Amino acid sequence: MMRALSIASTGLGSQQLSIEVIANNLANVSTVGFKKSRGEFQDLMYQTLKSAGTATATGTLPVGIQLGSGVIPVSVHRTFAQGDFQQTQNPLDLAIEGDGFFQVTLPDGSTGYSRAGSLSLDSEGSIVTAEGYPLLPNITIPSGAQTVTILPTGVVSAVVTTGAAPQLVGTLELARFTNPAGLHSIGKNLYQATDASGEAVTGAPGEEGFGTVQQGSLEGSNVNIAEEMVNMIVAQRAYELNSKAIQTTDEMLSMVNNLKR
Amino acid sequence: MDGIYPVLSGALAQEKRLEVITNNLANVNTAGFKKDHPLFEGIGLPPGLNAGPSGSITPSPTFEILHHVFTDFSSGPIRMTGEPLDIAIEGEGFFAVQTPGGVRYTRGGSFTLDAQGQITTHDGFPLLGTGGPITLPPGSIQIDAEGRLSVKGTEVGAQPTEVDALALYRFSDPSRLKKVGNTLFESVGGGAVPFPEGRVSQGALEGANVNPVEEMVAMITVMRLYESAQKAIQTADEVASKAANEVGRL
Repeated sequence: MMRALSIASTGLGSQQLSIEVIANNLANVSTVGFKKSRGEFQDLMYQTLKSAGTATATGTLPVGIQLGSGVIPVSVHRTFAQGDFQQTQNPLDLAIEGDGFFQVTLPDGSTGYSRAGSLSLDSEGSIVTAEGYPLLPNITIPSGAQTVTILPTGVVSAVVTTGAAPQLVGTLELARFTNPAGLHSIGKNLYQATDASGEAVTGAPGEEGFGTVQQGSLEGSNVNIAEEMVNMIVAQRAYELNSKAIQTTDEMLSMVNNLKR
Repeated sequence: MDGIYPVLSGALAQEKRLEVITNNLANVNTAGFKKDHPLFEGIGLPPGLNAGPSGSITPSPTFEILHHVFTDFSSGPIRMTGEPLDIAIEGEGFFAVQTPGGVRYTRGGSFTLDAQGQITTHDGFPLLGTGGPITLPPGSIQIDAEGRLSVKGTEVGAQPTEVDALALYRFSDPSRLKKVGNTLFESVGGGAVPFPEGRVSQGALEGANVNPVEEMVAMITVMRLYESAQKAIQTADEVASKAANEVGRL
């Protein structure tokens, strides 16, 4: 069978993956703390029919014959560029300006990392994510607190009785990674550390490369709709080109079939 | 029956040409991909062998065969991505990456960090700087036009410090580069010359240099030539059929 068919099908598969990544970015355009991804592709191995540099009777072959076998997706690369800030005035909405992730304790006891700072209090007064997972280190706001203040450095204080001085209730800690693109997404705006991301380095907001925390704001997704739409057009046209190649191959095969009458 | 095999060689050549076009189209969005052009040659039998008994020379049938596939190293379109480790080479030059099989060269400028802070390709092959693989301390990465890498550390008030410079290479004869997949090239018989004059731009990616219009036109040509070959084979068959079935009928 003609190899062109399988080559073109690798092209279709790759462009389809591109569209899937773009569709997921667009689906999460309003997801707090979402980070967009990009499909990366590489050419597949080559079949060498004649090697360049092979000795012949009269010298060496200056160029050879290599036939490619298509394209393969090599990674879906997540981009941790800063998203837009939205002002919400909610005292438990936090945005990280700069590097770092909030740490949360997952139900299985492991640590998850997130940029989504839409937090709330549970029945015990612990600061939890929208999913109900407690922040790490756990911070508990005393019951009956009037106001909660979170400084850019992550210091959390609360005024318990009207007129009294605010009392310190805890300090937020952020985590960062050598290679955040290597984090494993588990959905729900959460990531887990992997061998590729490296160990989490933890520290206080505003120190040693960590971003600062902004109370009353949320970090939106870093998806740029115009960019995604353009990428979608490019991927669609590339898909179309590959489908035309399949069509051409099919017509050629049909000619072969009609050769014997 | 002589005529049918040269025509068949032409049809087979078109199939090979279609494979090359399809591979170019499959990689139309592959960063750093360089398109291929197949070149064909006609080979004929030496006239002497073909001489008739009376010494008359009949036209020698010509067979079309794939002579070589030549890679076009012209630059692809550069688009801005804003990613700190997307690096496009402006003009000539190649990045060098360390693979288990030795140093390979690439124009695909989409890199990432591994857990140790080393710059690698997406398959984990380290990118080479002037001092070997490049390991970056944490901080924000800046790459200037000359390929010098600086990192602004994470301490408060840190200044950017130069870490290394990208090792770019050029080839006096890029046609000696062999494609090995993963948008990498192997230098056959050496010839890689350090190219410190190379210019790069950070936050940009070089796309494939495939021109869809060119490839579509080539594809139409392939299909039509294939169609002609099919017609020619059928005609040759009809002629042979007449010879077999009609000549000699009383």
